[in-house]
Amino acid sequence: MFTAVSFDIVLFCAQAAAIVLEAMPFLLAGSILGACVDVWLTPERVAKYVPSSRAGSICAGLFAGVLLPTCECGVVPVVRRLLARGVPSGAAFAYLLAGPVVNPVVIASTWFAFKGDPTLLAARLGMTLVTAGCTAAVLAGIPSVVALRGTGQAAGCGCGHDHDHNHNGGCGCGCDVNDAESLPMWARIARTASREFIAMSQFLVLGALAAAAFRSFVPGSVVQSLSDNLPLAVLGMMGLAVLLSICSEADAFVAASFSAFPWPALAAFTVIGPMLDLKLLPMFWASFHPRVATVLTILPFLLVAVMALALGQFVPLGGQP
Amino acid sequence: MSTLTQRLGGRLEAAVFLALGGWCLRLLMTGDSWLFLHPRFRVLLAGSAFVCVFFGMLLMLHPLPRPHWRGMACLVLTIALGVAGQRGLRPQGAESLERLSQADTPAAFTYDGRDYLPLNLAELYLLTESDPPPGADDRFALQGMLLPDPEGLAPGVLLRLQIVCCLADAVGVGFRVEGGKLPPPDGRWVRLLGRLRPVSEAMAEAARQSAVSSQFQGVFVAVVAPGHVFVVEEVQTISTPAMPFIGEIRMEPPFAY
Repeated sequence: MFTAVSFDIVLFCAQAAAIVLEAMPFLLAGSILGACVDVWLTPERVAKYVPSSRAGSICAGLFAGVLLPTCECGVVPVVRRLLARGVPSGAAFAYLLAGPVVNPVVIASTWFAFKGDPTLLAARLGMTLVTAGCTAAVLAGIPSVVALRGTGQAAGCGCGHDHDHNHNGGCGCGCDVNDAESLPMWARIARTASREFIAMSQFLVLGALAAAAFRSFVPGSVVQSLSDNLPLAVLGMMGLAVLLSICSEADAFVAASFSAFPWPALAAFTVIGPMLDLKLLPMFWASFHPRVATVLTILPFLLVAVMALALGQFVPLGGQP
Repeated sequence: MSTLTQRLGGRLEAAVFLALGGWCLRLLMTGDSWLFLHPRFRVLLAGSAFVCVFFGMLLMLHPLPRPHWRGMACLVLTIALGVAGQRGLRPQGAESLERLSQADTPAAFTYDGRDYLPLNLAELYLLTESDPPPGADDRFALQGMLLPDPEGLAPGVLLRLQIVCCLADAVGVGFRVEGGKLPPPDGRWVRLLGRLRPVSEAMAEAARQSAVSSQFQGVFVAVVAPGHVFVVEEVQTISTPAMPFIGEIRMEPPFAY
């Protein structure tokens, strides 16, 4: 029989592993997709398929998730490759933030979790689009390759190096362009994807450990006690979304269980989680220029908080709509 | 980094992929994937396992030039945590979930000449929110863990975890229970046969006044039905079910139980 402490430790182990196992298919898919983008997406194709205007490219990014659904676990590798291939920053960052929510799977799960009530679904989609659009507009002026962490070279692998040079000289980026050229295309894609996966998985695992520790060792009643005060409820649920790091497919069900909270707080929970959580934060800081990562860390949080508090002024406090 | 270290590291990276893929396949083959993920993720987990094995074989033949030591360490740590969690959470006395006998759910449980409709706690919770809610004569059979009521309003709470995607998003769903036949609420698995009754005004008021929220050990979020109490007519102690979590919710009979 477990003691309370040993049960918490077992639960911590299982939850951390569960988060990684749940995210692994999506991170693998994102890594493979990113590697395919690296091969397929030439500057000519970028010019052909991505609108050239700033507003057009942001709109394309906002709704790209409908055609290319992904969850937040797999979106960072794809966006890295898109940026490395010259896709405008506005489109790439709009997709990064909106893609995990504005897609058919998440829309359906939110609809089901809130028993077909359109209010929270509309709030979730609306707040996501506004937040992603505004953040992307702020970042749209940054050249794509500068947005990536590294030297700013137009590297197809996203490592930040010019691929004309020999990577076997000990630069540490893991690319071996000269060796890889002798391999068939599929093998090159697989090797690039495997490196992307293992590089990103370190951040996934760290985030999973932190999220599992929070769930296992902090009582949920700490958050429940904030439900009576709108600002505290909104900020508490947003903080919880960041700390729990739940997949965007499942977060609506968890939000629905906090039935005592005002619905703007629940909407804020479902909006901020797919944009900012303990898995994404280290990925942002490892993948993007520090200034970009700072904007991605702060601006969505502020925008979502302001929108949720504003919504709360127009509705009475209480449970779900 | 010496060439030898690089080569060894490259092969080790391949081995980590093979180990990760192999562990995932083992989880699927033993049925223990249920301890971590909802069954609808089985296909995705199987796909991931095969991709990892493929990556491992490819990297064994064509290793990457600079092994990613931190990434490798993190993936090995994941496997270690998963094995620890797997051993700790697996029902006692079972080598794996698959080897437990599947619960043979009849259309109804019969006791003392009365039929009880089997359904799970989440399904009953949704029924109580439907219009009209179940009547006083409707009888149900539920299974779950019998735990103390944190708010002290009833002798116990019957609770079960509902999983949407993975263990980390599990939500406890429960009903307060009462009745003379109840055993001590010590976490044992029970099948309860009985009926619903609306909570009394006094209990509803006490629940509103209670400063203690529904908090159970190992469950981050739990929802206890606020409007009804399950009145127990018969208690059967059972072993941990083959599938301890709620993974499916049906809106009409036959329920998932």
